[in-house]
Amino acid sequence: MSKIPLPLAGAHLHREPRVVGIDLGTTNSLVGTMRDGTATVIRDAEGDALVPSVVYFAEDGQVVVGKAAKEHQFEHPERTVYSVKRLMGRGLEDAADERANLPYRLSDEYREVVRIRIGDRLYTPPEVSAQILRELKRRAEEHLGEPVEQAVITVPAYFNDSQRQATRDAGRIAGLEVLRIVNEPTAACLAYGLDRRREGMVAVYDLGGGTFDISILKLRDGIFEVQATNGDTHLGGDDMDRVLADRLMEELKERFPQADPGDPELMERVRDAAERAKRQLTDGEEADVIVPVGSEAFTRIVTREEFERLIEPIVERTLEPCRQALADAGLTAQEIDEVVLVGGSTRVPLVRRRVGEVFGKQPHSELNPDEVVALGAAVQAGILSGQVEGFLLLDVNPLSLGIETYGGTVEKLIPRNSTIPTSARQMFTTGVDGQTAFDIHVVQGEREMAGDNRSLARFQIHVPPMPAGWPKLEVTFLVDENGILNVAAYEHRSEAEASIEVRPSYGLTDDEVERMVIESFEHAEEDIRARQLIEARVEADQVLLHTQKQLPVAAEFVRAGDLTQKEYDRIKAAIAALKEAVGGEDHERIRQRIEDLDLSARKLAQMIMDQAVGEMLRGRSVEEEPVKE
Amino acid sequence: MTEEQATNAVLAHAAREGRSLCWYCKTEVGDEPACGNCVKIQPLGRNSDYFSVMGLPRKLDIDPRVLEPVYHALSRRFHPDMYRLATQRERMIALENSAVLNQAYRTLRDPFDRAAYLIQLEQGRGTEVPASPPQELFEEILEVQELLGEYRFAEPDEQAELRPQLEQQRARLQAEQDGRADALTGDLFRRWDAAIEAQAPAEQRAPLLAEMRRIIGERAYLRRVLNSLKEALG
Repeated sequence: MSKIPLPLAGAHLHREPRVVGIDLGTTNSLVGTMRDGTATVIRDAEGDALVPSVVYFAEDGQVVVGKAAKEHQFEHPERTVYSVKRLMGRGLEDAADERANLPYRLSDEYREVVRIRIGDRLYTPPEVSAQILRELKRRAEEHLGEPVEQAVITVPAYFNDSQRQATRDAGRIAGLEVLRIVNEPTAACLAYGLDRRREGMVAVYDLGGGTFDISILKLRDGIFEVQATNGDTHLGGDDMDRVLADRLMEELKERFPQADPGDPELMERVRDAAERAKRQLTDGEEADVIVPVGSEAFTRIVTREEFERLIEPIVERTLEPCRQALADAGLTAQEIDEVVLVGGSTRVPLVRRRVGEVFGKQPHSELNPDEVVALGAAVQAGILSGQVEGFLLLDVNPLSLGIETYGGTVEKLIPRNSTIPTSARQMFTTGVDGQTAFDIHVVQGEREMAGDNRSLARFQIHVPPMPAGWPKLEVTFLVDENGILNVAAYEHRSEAEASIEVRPSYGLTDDEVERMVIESFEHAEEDIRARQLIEARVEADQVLLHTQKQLPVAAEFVRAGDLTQKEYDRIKAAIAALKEAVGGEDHERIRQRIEDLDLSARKLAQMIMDQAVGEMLRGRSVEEEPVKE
Repeated sequence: MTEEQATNAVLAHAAREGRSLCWYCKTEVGDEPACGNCVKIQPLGRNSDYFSVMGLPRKLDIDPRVLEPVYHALSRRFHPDMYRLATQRERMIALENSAVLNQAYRTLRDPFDRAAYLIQLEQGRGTEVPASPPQELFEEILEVQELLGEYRFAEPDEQAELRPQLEQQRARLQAEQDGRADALTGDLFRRWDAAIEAQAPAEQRAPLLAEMRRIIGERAYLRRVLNSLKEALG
């Protein structure tokens, strides 16, 4: 074999690929990166780091993400997807409670993974999330001036296996290799701890748009060791908006009986008004609510006291997980050294007050609660790419993992709050002669009966036929550093790895994800083609306008004998040909015809230019020349 | 046969002879987490126990302040985050080693889990300690359960009457529970560690294990009773 010598100078130019940190939120998403040893979030030209997690699917196939998509929320509520994170990794049945509040529709046909219906197309939540990720990736690439292919993505600590898998799938569909899934409160703590190199026990209270997490961490020697985590994946600021919106809608109905409370546009406007009022009440004692109803308007003043009464049950719901996490960590509230607030909803004064009471100390939030998770994700990205040294995160699995037994009860394999990675081994044998398959049903949750927990996946393990009781099948359940389960099986009699078929209960299979990755490329091509067509048309219109204006001048030249009739006809033919191409869909054809026209009219253009120069020399401007249409 | 299969066959052959070889350069390796020759990470052997993983003798009196730094140092050594740029095989070993390390730490940092694990280790697998009622408290426990049954279905004023009795029983059982904890982690742990230091034969250590086994089983049972008391009384 021949060897090609490497140029030595070039051999050392290998650069570490850039890894970004992404906070893929229910309401807003952000991307961060490490720069000169400091974590920073990437901002747009206007200085905004937050990309609203909203995706608008236009009828012409165009996809709009972020602020621009949010503008379509009122006009096209059924084509504008927000809060998609609430649907990640969920089946149709467990999305039922969300469904009533969403203006966009879900398909009834798919039970295991919900599909969002936009016109005649169906999208899975990972596909919609991938659109947001792609936008963040684009932002990062533009900012860094280099391609970005690897990312750390954060998820709520209390996300289960299917929700984590769905997040990883979204990354893959967006063309990102997800190096690590990190829990949001842990990431936030990393951003804080790194900043100040503290030691001690830290409670991170993270109330976002749609999820709530509480994590308790011990910081020592640069190691961030999660002691316990708890939470609710369906609790957040959205719920506060909703209780206020419900109250407003009731009153609106009374005052405007003709208004249709089921109208998606009205629902959106009321929800939006509620959200604005919530924000105003962060600093103000009162908020004005104005909702246009037909030609009139529904107006109302909401006081902070009223708002707090409405949201109190929601805030209370976050406190029980706090107590549970403390108990699981074997700690009392007095043993917590610091309380950190994360997530936009912790701006609500009642939240701050109640958290302060439960932990008996003033919580702090020096870092922007909207940005701190992305900053932490960027730090973890830095740890993985070797830019940040000396720090290590040791996280836990939020929910117990078990298998369904013969009687329908659960045999716990891995208790909740076990530090990950972790594993458990279980031996199995056959009950029937010649049995060649085992079905293992893995569930996640704390309940005694398998049916009351969340089904994670069914694994079918194949073994060679042997007499009953003879096979010695060792099954290893391994939860990796991302909190995602991997299963391997080894049959000791035949000394062979047993093959496993996985049927995820609520996730996409690898094949499905693969197909979506390919589809997204196809769509990316479609998107590019659409953009190229638009650009070509715009240019063609300008060229046409310009040359058509010059035609009367050209006719003059023909009369004067400076331009031949044939040359004149060729220009007219090229104009007609370009007009025809603009009506079509082929941007390359349009470009070709633009060039043809350009070529045909080159002599004319030269003549007009010469004439203009001549006029100028005579002290007259060409613009004064009357142009006949 | 692929190269990996060939390597596995060589390693398996060596394992049957009771030796372990580095998966990469096939130099003989001991218990060290890295090969002395090529410094590649080595899988923690399937036969190594939690004590050896942490580099500790099979003694029970472990100071958590000593255990934690060991755990942190080994975490830095094994955690998959540290092997992001390594080969697939190294990453897999790191992942599995990390999992074993985390279980080892979880088990050894709790004195009761630690003792229960030691019993399993010394007396073979499948000897999980069952919960069993303490003989001398049999009467009391029966009485508590009877009272509890009554309490659950009683009217509020009757409950108020029953409550002091139950509280009294709870305090007594809790004291029993705490006494067992002290007996296990104090005297028994010390005697066990002394036996290990003196390299006492297995038959001399067996009674100690049996005693630990009894206490752990009784504690498990008492915990259940105390939990149902807590449920009822709050």
